[in-house]
Amino acid sequence: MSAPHIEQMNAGGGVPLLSVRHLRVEFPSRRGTLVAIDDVSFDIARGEVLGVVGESGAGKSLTGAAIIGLLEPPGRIAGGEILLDGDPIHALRGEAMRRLRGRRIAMIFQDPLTSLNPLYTVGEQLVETMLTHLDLSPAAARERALALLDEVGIPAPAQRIDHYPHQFSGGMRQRVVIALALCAEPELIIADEPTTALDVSVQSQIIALLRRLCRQHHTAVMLITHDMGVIAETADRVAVMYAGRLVEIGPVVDVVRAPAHPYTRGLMGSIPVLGAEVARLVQIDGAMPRLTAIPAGCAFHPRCKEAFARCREERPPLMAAGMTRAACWLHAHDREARSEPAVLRHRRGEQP
Amino acid sequence: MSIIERALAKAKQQDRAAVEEAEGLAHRPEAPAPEEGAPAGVRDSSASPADSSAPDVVGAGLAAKRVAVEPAFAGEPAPTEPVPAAQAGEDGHVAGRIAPPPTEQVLAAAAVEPGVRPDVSADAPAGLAAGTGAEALVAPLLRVEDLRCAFDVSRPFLNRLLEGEPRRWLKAVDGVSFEIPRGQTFALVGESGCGKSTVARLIVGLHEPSAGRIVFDGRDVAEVRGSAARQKLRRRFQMIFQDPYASLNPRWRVERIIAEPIRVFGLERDVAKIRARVAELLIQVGLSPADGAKYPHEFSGGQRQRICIARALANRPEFLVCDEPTSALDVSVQAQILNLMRDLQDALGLTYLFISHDLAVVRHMANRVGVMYLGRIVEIADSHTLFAHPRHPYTRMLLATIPSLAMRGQRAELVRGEVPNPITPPPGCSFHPRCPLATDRCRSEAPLLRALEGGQQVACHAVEEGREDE
Repeated sequence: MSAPHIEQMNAGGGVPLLSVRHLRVEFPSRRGTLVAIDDVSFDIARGEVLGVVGESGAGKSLTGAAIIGLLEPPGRIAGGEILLDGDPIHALRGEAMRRLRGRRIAMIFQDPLTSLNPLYTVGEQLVETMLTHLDLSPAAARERALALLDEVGIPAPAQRIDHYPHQFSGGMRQRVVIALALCAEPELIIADEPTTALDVSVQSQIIALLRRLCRQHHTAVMLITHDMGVIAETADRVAVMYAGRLVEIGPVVDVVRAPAHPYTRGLMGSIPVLGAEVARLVQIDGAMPRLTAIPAGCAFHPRCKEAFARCREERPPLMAAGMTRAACWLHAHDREARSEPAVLRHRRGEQP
Repeated sequence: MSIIERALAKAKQQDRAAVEEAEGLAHRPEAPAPEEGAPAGVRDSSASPADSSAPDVVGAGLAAKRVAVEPAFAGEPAPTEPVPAAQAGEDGHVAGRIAPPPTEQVLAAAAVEPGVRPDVSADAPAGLAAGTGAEALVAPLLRVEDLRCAFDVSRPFLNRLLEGEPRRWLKAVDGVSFEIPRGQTFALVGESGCGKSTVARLIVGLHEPSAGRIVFDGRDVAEVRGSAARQKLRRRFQMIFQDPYASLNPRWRVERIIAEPIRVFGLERDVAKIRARVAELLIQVGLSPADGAKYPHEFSGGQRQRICIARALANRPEFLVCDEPTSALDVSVQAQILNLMRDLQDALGLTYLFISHDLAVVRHMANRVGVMYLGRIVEIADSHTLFAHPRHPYTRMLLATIPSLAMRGQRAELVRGEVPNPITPPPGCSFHPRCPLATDRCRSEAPLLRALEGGQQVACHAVEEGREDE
């Protein structure tokens, strides 16, 4: 049932910065094992921004947590591998993982207030992170902290460096968090809904900042968000997740303009667009299945208007579909599989 | 006199001064919003923007307006009561409607074929059934005049006394005026802290306004005395809250949640009839009657919001205040809820006040939009005018900053700064620190809402002086 081949998106060849192969994350529970992430594979090249989009519960944040080794027990990586620069990191524990975390892979969380320690000034937090990971003197670290605060657009950094997190506004705090993520010059930043807690006008500033800094520092970003607009404006490629599986991945322009998977098409149609006046939004009936009741075959088939027999029986691997890759039998090359064009609409409403 | 006594006296004096100041602010002259949606007879010529700067003229204008407005209402039949639920139940539609065809199709069909609309006449008040389109509007269903709400955010008395701090007021809503014609959707949009939710709560009576009038169907809500009369009025509007997880009692079954307004307003006493009405409501919002026996935790976010909508519709309101009804939901579920709300509006002739921070959602839902910034409306216009020709720099900034699917990576960092602290808003135009067009006048003098052609109203000196396109 696994994908027969994994695309090598790095056209230039060589090893991708991050390579996730057949990742499977399980949560053992009394009622059996819940598979929260099921056979997810993707690569991130150096300096690339990969957007990961999906509804809540699709497994996008868990994928990020699995990469940086922050899965909450009893969640565990049950299969597959995660390679950073060719080296497996999914089995690292304890001190080895700590050395990697913050140094080579950094993380930006949704709520900037909870990711900063309220008892330390932002300067102390920046300096501490740098002293942990880099070979610097405290004075040099402070100097670098000042430069970083200036770089992320904090006015009067010389005064602000000695302020506590609560003295900053939401947008300024997220800038501090970005500075904190960048301070050890990581190769990859996992940004989990970095702008969801912010107002739109601040959101656009933070996104522009993140994009500019990552371009300058040549840092790759895995941008996890539910906001397709943010992805469209920021990412180079986008991965769409549904019920713990990757349903489509490809260059952002192609996924936005010509989505190949019926779920992605529904998702795009359901977003109200400023430029267009439509009487009704495209609506995907039903809701994403719970982890306890993921349907056989393609997880999307009960809600899919184009589902046919094969969708109910066999899980589709990622396959070439136009300019993107989609896990959908509609794009199977063996066209005889589509001979039964039965339209499945037996589930209406939101009954899971 | 001891030191303490003296200090006490001083603190009291300061408090009184602060209260007086706040009250004085509440009565500060401000241009009354011209009555855009109102018919010619109601429009008040003396309140034209040109002479609004002189306070006595404004006062006279307001008085004249009231006089002009009231006869218009007097000529109308008294606000008709909704058809009693018992009657609606007796005419046999309820039983017929429990058969489970997919609701959206029923609603869509009802909207397309006006002949087949028994539901509508049963659900909408008699006066409404005659026509729900724009042509039927005579007077706005809701009119808000110079609404103000200040919250006391002072520190405790003893702290103020010992530290010599004055009282502090947060002017959450600072002179907001708008009106909503029947059957239409008016949206308030703005960033967090701009006061849009406070306006919603003021209208449904969850907060007491510091000043201003809320006129619902021709009657000032504040002047409705007596609990019976008040309840009669309250029955005609309802609210849908943002968080469907927090707004449903987790210990109640869904049928009890939905039946609560029916019981509270005493619309129906017969248990079987209440049950039938609940089943009908569940179908109306796209759930099944069997869901009534479940508890809220058994539903997803979108389904919970459907339950909230069913509860809001239970007492057959005419007017729904929707405070960010979809911002806690995923986009695909949001689309379901927005479609449902539109269908219900078409079928039941509902009027919505729609509060959102998402301009794209507002554009999709609203006929008319008010943009709020720090407690004031900075621009009001019809939806298509606002989005095609935004005039206020803040509206333009908001529109430019939405990450959209269409324009990719084109945006520079054109937005500066963040929303200031509403306790200490900047003097003059509160947007001036972030505005690219700000001048000295903007820094000292607060702009008033002025009408432009096409029913658009903008509070901006730059627009008034014609230098917004520089």
